[in-house]
Amino acid sequence: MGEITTGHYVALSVVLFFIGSVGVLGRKNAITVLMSVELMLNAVNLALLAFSRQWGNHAGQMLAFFVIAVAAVEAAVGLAILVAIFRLRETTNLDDMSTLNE
Amino acid sequence: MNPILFWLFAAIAVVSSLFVVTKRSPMANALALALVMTALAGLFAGLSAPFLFIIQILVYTGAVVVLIIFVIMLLNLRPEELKLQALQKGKFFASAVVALALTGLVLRLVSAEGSTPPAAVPASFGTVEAIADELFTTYLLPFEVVSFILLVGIIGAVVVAKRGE
Amino acid sequence: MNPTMEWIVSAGRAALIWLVQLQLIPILIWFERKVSAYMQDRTGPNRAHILGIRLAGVIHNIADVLKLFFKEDVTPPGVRKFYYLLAPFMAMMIALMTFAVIPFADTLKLGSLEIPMQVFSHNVGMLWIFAIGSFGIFGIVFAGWGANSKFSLLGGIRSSAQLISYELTLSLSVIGLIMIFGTLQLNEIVRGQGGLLFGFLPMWGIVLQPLGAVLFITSVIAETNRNPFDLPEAESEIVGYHVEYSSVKFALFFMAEYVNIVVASGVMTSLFFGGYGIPFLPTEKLIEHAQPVLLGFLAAHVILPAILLVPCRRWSKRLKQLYTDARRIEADFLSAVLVLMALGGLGGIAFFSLNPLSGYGPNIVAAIVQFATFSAKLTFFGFFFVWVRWTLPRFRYDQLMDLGWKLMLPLSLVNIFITGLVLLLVDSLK
Repeated sequence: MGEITTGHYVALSVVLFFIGSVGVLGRKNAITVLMSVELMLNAVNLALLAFSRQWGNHAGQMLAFFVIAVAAVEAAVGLAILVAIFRLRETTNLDDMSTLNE
Repeated sequence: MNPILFWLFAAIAVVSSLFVVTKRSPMANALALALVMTALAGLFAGLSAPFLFIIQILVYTGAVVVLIIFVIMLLNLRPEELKLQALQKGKFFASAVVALALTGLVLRLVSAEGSTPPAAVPASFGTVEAIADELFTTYLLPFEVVSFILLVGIIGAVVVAKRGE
Repeated sequence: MNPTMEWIVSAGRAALIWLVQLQLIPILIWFERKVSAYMQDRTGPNRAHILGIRLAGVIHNIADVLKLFFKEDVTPPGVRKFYYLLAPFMAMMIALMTFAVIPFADTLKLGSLEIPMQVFSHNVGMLWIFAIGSFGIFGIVFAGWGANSKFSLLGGIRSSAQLISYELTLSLSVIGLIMIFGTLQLNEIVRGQGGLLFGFLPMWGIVLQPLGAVLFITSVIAETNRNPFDLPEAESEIVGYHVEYSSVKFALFFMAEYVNIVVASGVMTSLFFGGYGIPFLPTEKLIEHAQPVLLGFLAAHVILPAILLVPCRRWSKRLKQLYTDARRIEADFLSAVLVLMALGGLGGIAFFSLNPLSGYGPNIVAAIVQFATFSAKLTFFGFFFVWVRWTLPRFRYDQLMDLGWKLMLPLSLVNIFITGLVLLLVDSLK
């Protein structure tokens, strides 16, 4: 196990990002999809922090901080919408939420 | 960062994130997500970002995942319904293959770039004081905008989730 | 300091804090039993004894623990096993972790060596408490959901909603204090409280931030699920999230509650009641006057047992009239202990007056005295929690939510604004 470089962090971030994207594309449960989105956002945060450390600049950490704040809002509003839909249609299945399609 | 710690946290993060996308029960996904967040917080600490380490635990594990778990508890999905929502095999594998290919591609790009050693940073890098100094000077406008977004989000969530009269 | 030494010192600090937290559990349970008994005009536990030694009911705890461990460990059918088993461990583990940032003495300086007397001395300080505290919900949620029973689920939802609501006030009520001292490091906050206001008043948090202190104490009681906010286990209305647990698993929840009280008392002490500090005697002065302080400490060790010896002898006579079995020796045993303590104190006085403190001695003595002060305050606030519980009636659920969101949250925001205004005024007057 050699020295850990910025490349390692970025590679980990890439792996996590694509695992998250599989969840977003391949899952039908709305809550799980929301969680996968959070996972992708977190992967990006990791890359941002790695770059921030690489250049000794706080800008990356700032951006990560704002991403966290906005992601929290996204989770709150997304879950509120899910609860509202569940109340109307008794489902969390994304394939059933297609009335606009018809 | 200590290599052993890095590989430990990386392994936890990758394995738990696989659980997040593959496990059927949403509660299992949420627990795995909490683990990913905590492992990532550990990595943040290793990247000299102590403030974000704490914020990650505080906001993600302590608030977002708790909120998700709370909603799962409220909805209390029946197992039969969850069975219906299992992975669609074809869709899942197609996206997995694409993701794998893209991961390989980006990883090649990352490893092709010769690594330069990280810049030397002062001990105060990423501490609460340093972050606050920048946040309330250079980044004051985005900070205020984010606080406004949070306010809108709170009101929006309450209005959407409120029971209609 | 080489890495191995550093590891040993860290492990030592962690072990010390761990022991303090676990040691306080039986004391708190004893408080709970005895205080409630006296408030309800009963005697409380006084039967369990080892060779006649009852220690006014402390021994009863051992009987309790034995009972809990040897009870049948029932896992009801239909539970979600993984979460069901995970929940009690999470509750206990998270409760134990929070204490890491609380300082139990000032940084010990041994020449060039500086040992911070807290397990995790990083400048994120207070934020760590909030971060780990927000973890605490997991234990409750998994217990409520994992048991797969409607009662547990309701209890779990109620108590997690309560925890989330009061966490807001909890963190906002501290911000005023953080603004005044300009740091999140608890050790620096405690040091700052050693100063004097107008030259005579100790700058304790409760003096600087009376409103903040009241809000903090109220929400911390809500966070530990204690009366008047003990809806999670309001036994007369509903049954709580741990209704499906038995034996050791229940004991873990039970112990986690008391560890949470210890943590809450520790935070309260450090933020609002001067932490390890003794009023009018900051660390530097304490080290300077270590010799008289040590002798005073030892003198108390002689005088207190000597005074207690008188009622103890009288009690011994009564016991001998009352009992014929092993219990009659209890007072004699206690008298022996008291005499030994007094003799030890006398020996200490003799030793330290012949060999005055030198070298690192004063620093170590100061640390020990501060640790003792901290423990005393910790125990007092543990008692305070019990006192509050057996004095106040319980809130109804809607009253609880109204109080949290409509009264305490706005008040904590007002507190922040007022603090900021006063700080600006003080700055402009300088």
